[in-house]
Amino acid sequence: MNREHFLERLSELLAKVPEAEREEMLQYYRDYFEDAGAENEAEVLCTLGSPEAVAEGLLRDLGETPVMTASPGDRAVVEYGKTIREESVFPPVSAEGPTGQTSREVPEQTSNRLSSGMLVLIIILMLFALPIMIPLALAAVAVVFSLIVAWLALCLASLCMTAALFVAMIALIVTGVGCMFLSPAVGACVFGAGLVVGGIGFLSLIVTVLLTGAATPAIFRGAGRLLRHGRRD
Amino acid sequence: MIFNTGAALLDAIVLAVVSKDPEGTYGYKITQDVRQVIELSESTLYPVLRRLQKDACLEVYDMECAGRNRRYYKITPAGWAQLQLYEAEWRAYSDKITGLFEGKDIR
Repeated sequence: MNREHFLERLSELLAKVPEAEREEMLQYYRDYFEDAGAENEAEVLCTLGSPEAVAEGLLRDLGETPVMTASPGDRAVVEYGKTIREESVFPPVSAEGPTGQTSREVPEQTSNRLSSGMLVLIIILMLFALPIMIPLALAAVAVVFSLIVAWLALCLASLCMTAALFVAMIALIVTGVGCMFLSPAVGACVFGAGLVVGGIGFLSLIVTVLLTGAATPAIFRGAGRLLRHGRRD
Repeated sequence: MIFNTGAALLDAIVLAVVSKDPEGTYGYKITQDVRQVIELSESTLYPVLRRLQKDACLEVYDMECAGRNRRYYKITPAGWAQLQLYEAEWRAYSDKITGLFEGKDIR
């Protein structure tokens, strides 16, 4: 076993401990290895004992029931845990015993039990909410999907319109130039109409570029930001 | 060592060790310093530090050292008061026992 294994196993064994508290514990042992230096790693692992024993000591200190029994290699922790327990069962006889010892352990225990009870309640609540939550989530996904499709359709329609206008422009200009030889007035009219259609086509092109090139990424970015904010709150 | 170190005495020793560094000190060093005085399993110290911290006798802060954050423990005014109490109690306790060993009249 090396240091990484030790910390990993310890983290697993402390799964029941609230996240913040567990992180503090792991940080302590991570620091400990760092400060001891790589050359002392084997010695530290040896004196710390098994991760099971360390975890049991930490859990007992939290007022939780240990998940496993200690290995005989870790006597000091076990003895220390016993002295704490004895002091909390019997009131301190000598003046030396700290008076706060008994009251210290009790509130910790109750708060731990309360939070695990709450956790169970929340899980039950979520199970009951599941039949409603799944259709709601599906509906939300469908709405978002249809909005995206509608937007893409709008972009495509705008593109098609632009293309149609340009085709019409070319046709009118070609026809206009052709008519010019037969009847210059009609030819000029058709040619002018072609130019007008072309102008509208260029406007449409600008709108299309704005819709697809500028507005679409902005909308997706905005939606992403909205989602992130929603998650943070 | 044939005498057990109880919870209160261990608290007192750790408080005394931490109080030697007014700027604060870190877990590994505390363990090494405590082990100069008593036998101590390396895994015993964390619960003690945590308890002292919860009782506001110690405060913690993180300081960067060699590219990572190291946690420092520092004694608080409440910790100093508690240490004074422990020292007075220890003096009374050890004087009595020493007196008894040396054959003085206890009463």
